Amino acid sequence: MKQTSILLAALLSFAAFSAQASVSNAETMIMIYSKQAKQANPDYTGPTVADGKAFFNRKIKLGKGKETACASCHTANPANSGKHIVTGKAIKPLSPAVNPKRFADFEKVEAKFTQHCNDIIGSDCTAAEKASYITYLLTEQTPSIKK
Amino acid sequence: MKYVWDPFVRIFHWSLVIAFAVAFYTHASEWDRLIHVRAGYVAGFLLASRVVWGLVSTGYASFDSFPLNPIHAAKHLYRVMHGRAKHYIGHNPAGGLVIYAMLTIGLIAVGSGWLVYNDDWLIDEPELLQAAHHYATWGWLILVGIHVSGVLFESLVHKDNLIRAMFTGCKRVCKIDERQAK
Repeated sequence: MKQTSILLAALLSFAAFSAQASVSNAETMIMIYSKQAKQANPDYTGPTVADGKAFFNRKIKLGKGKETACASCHTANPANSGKHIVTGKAIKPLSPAVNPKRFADFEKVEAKFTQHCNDIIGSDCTAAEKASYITYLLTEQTPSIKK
Repeated sequence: MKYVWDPFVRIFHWSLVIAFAVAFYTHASEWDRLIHVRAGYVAGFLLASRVVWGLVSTGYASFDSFPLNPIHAAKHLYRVMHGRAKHYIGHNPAGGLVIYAMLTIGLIAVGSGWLVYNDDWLIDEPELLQAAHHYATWGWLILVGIHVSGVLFESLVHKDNLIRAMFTGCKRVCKIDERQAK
């Protein structure tokens, strides 16, 4: 019994640690992007949850005539599993607070931003947009109750 | 003229060219994901059918007509460099080696893509699967490059249009190796 609880405690602290590690990585990325934004614009005042949320839900119409937002696939709550609007396939939660695999490697995040922004929005995202985006994602920590 | 490529091989070949081209063209965008996946499934079906055809058919399409032998392939390339290569009607040993590589890597590319698309049900390692799909596909593209270079090279050396042969099935075959007979 004692052994089991020690094991459980070890497991729990490990789980907490790995979630923590991901969040701190996401926070590091916010710092990097904020720094870049400040360099690009000296009047930059820092990332905000409101900007990130607005960006996440902003519907963008591409030349192809499709109107989409980040939320179209990732749902209005990025702590939830999403659904690809073209294939219907499930997408794992985007919020690093829920899914520790998200925003864990800066190079991959950069590459994904470049590809995804150009693909979905039609142009690359600015450092300020990226900083606010991750700031907002970090605040979404509770998946909604499944319908 | 000699009839070399049966209708199955010809239809398979150009269908695979189209399927792969479509899959390659649509690989980057989320908007085209469904087309990419379907093109990949078509390519996988074609490759699997070609393997079955290689096992059951007779003639130049059969695997028996171009056995997998890397040593013979190396010898063939050596002879090509010295201008005294034997002339093969179907696949020469080097070309055959590339064909086996393309069938294998092609099936790996399709299989890994299939697992990437369905990463929730067999292997839940999206990054590993994506890497496998990525490298298998670029490896396949390199093989396509080797295949096409070999075809163009042999077409020039033997003054025989091998691309046309893949449409008509007929190759102009010169008298089998006068040099070898000496």
